[in-house]
Amino acid sequence: MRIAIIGAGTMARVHAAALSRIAGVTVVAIAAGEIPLATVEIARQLGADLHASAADVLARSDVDAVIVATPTDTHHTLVIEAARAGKQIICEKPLARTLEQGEAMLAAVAEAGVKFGVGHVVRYFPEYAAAQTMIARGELGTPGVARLTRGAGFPQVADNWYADLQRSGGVVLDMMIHDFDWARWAFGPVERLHAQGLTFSGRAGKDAAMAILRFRSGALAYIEGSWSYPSGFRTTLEVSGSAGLIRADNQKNSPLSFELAPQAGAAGVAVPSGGLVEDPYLLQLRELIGWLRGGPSPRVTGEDALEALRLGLAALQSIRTGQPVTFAA
Amino acid sequence: MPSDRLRVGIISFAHVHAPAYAVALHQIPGAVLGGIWDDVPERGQQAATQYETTFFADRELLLASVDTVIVASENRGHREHVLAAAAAGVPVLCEKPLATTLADAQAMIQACEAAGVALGTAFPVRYSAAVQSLRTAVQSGLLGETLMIRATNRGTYPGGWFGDPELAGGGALMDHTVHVADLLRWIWQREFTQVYAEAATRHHEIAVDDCGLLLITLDGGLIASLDPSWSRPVNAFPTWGDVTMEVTGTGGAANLDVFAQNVEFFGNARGRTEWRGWGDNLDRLLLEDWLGAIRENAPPPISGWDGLRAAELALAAYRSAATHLPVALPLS
Repeated sequence: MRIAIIGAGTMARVHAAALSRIAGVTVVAIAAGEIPLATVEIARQLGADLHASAADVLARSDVDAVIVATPTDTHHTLVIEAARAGKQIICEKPLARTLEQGEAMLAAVAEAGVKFGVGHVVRYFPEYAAAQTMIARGELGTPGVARLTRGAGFPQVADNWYADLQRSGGVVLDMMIHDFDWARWAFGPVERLHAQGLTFSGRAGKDAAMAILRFRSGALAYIEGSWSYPSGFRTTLEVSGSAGLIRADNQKNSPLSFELAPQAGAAGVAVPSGGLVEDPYLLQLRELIGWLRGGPSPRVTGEDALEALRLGLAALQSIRTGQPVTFAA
Repeated sequence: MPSDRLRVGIISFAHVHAPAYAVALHQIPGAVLGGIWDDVPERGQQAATQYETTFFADRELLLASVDTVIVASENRGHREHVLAAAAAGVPVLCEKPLATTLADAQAMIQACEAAGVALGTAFPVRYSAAVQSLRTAVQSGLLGETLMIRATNRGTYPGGWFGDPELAGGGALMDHTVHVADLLRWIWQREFTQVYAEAATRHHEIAVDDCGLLLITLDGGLIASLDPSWSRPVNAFPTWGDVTMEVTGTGGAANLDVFAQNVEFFGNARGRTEWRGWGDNLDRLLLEDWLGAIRENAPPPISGWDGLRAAELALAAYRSAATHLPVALPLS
């Protein structure tokens, strides 16, 4: 299978590295208006061509599938164009910036008859997958309260597009969307959501939000996302139930960490290790590409991604209006 | 008995914290456990025997024999007992939550004011050195401007009357909202302006909520969340619960875990991990401060008003959980 990556940032490099480990897959091209040196280097190692625009790779008949790893507000146009070009598609999360865009994307891929996967990678993190399995098996009894937090510093990218709420949707659509998706996977449809946060406070370089969800089943969830930490990346997962409690913490559960002696003139840096032979991004692409090649359906569908987006947009609305959002049955 | 020791009575051993107060009173040099009254005489007699003090069959006789009294009854009884202490002119330290209705809390505060009797609320977590260091860090600006606070006061279901809506006045939200509520007010020196809450019964077959979640707003738009759930598995969890806060500010982040000071014990006999706490005895520190104020005729360190403000957050949370709408504070 011959794949092109649209986008040339961090996620493009993550996907390129993962694809290089999947047998029978070739990264034939990377396309972006500006391609940073790190991505140029990966393309060179993989023997991939560089293109200045997505249209160039979509026009190539030797490209079977594309991975869209561009800023959120561009997913819509690129996915629809890729569908019309008859390419299979894997798109980064969040699905889109607006619900209308997301619906149009799903309609376009359905009309074109192409397969469409979305990178809700948290479902492929082994601890999150294990928790979902334990809940589904009933090991927790009746689920009570889920707590999901995800925190980091503010993302630093070349054109600072994450800081533009109209492009990224802020921490709610970029970070909390993962946990909205996981919570739906574990607990089903949401009845009501209320959120508060810094998103509309106009603070440069800070965003954070907190949401309470009530599921139709009666379970509750607390979901928090933050881009207000000085550094690092931390996630926590906890679910209580009538029969027990599970929890995971990416910092406590890390199998290896270093604390390096300060170099001359520089502070010491703590470097966590992924600690898995196959990281979640590779597991995700193995499943999605297996499906594109005729294998079993992936655990995340385009409709799931649309529902996660619906929750994220509802959280933004709740933060803006100060009122909860109730979902029709 | 040296006359400079303050005689401390305990009204009711219904509350799970009562034994800890009795133990602490034995450790405090300037205090003596002066007697116990309980509306369940067997319970009171047993406690009096265990803690080597006098059981009073008549509450008024206990009040006449002590310098101050601790009320550790079921929540619903707080008003009656505090009013009795006020009528007897005895300074009274009331277990949390101060009351289960605003009217009760107001009546208690007014009765004590009218009688010139000190009324305190038992919020021992203020006496944690870690909490006090966090307060200093926040107030000195070490963390910059606080952006957001994520708090928990999760626990195991205490059982007994805590599951009785009449005696407890609510469930997990009533039991576990007030400690963190008090910390938020005390550390940040702000009042609550709004709360949104969900409450549910998911872990136990009981008639009150055993879990919930609160989104809180304080003066100036400061936002916080609180998880007051009885969500720790009773048989499997290594300790009773927690009080935690994760604070992010413009100048950095802080993580508070008040009861993190444990020795982990993996005992074959018990079959589960136990956390044996080795931190400071917060109940003792609370009582020492209370007794110091009584001795010096100073205002109570943690007042009835503090108790009312904390209970008010729980009451507003219940109103929000019932209406599915944010509720403005203070309640009118």
